[in-house]
Amino acid sequence: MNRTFKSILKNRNCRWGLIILVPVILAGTLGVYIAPYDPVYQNLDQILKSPSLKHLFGTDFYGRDLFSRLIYGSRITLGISLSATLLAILGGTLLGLTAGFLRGWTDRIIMRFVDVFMGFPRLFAVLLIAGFCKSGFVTTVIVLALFSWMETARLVRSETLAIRETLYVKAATALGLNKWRIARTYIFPNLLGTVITSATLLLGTLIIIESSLSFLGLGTTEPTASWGTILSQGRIDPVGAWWIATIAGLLIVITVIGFNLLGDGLKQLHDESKL
Amino acid sequence: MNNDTGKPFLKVSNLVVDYARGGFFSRRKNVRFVAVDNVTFSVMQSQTLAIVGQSGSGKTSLAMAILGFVQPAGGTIEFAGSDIRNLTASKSRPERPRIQPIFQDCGAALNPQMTIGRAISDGLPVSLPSSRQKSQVLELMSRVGLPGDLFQAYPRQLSGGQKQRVCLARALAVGAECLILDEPFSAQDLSVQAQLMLLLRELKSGLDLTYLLISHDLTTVRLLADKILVMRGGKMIEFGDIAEILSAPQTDYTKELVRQAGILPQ
Repeated sequence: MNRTFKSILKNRNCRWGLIILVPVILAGTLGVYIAPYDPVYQNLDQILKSPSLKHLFGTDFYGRDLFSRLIYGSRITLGISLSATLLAILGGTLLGLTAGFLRGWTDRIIMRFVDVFMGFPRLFAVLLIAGFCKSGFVTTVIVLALFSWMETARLVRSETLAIRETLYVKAATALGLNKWRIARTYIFPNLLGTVITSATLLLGTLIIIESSLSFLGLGTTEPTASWGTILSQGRIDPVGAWWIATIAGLLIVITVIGFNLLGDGLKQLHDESKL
Repeated sequence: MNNDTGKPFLKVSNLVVDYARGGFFSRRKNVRFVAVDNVTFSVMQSQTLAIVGQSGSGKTSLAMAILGFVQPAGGTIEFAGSDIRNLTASKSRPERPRIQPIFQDCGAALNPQMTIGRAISDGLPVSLPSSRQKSQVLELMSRVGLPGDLFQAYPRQLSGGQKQRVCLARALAVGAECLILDEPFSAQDLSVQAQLMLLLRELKSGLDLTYLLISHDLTTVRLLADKILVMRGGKMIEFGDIAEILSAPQTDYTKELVRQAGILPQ
């Protein structure tokens, strides 16, 4: 474990990814202790104050401290995106592995499901369902995961098809190991590189989609803070209150870059088999 | 050992292996390519049968059919008296370990994410306590000439010869009785070839193993084999005692193979 952690720290992409993400994740988990103000407290004397020492990132239209709201918002945004990514990756990996390993009818049925789900434009489908259902954390996670597992399933399936033809899988079959043991110990560990790449790409996309949903008023709603709702406020006066949209937008972009860097680094390490 | 009396250990009769040719856009649909055409032979226990022939002669397809990786289009394969044509079916899974492959690309035959110790112990019964598993693996490693400190090593940290030894130890761990050695020496340098050959001889005499040695190199084959099967274009063109065939080859093809190997017929 210690060796794995050292390898992660030695990798440049992983290091930069962690430098970006550790503060964001810490802010999300320890927000209560870090945030200088209550994120929903409206101080009408402090409406639209630009960044200063008193309010690091300024205040919004209700006089709420933006720094505190972004810290609390990271918990919502990252919580939703990470949970949805985890669900989608789990489902996609399981279905892709099953389809590629068992082939035949199982493969055909699973892949037709993939085709059907891929037929819907993701954002449109998510908007449609979010419009009909009561918005909230669980609903958003389920809706996002439901329309995000297909790319992973396709990637994992094609990788599984290649791995099942390798000599080490043939050797394992000759040892008399059962199918599920081969899938678990021979195929799955060699799929991890693909799964990690898929997860980081998806996480970046889902952070943006979650923010878009909140921006459109279909995800997290006011007064709860999320990066999307804060960004949405910024459009009211993007010039006069420039700091609202700029800081929230930058935070989204930097976090997505952080996850992509970490994913790239983990993929590199896995390919070199240092993980 | 030349023991030709009694029941054959491995008996292949009229074996046919074919593959579909042509893709979706091909005009030649439903055309089959016959890789192994009506091959019949038998091997007694603790004998070594060399299967020789140039590339594309059907040697590996024959081995794949015996291992159950390719479903034969015809013929029978009997191992120790039982039909093993459907080795892929889960019902015959307990029978599978009795025949083990040793591939030419031994590096590709080891899971890159698995340590050597784990790779060798993977065929051992799951019910065996881990301490017993480890001691058995270390015993096998020493038997094939691998130092015990490679237990935690990964395949990428091993040389070609060491990887080949790991594959042998893995085959022995599941109690293999017959090894199908597919060009085991071709990727090794001369000194490693000699060491592996000695090891194979030692294992054969110590464990009563039966070998099917696939090779295109008659010089190595004649040092290990008791019998020889010469293949060309999927067909068996000569089969018999190695000394007899190499000293008096019957077909021009075998004569050419013997000439290329620099073995002078007596």
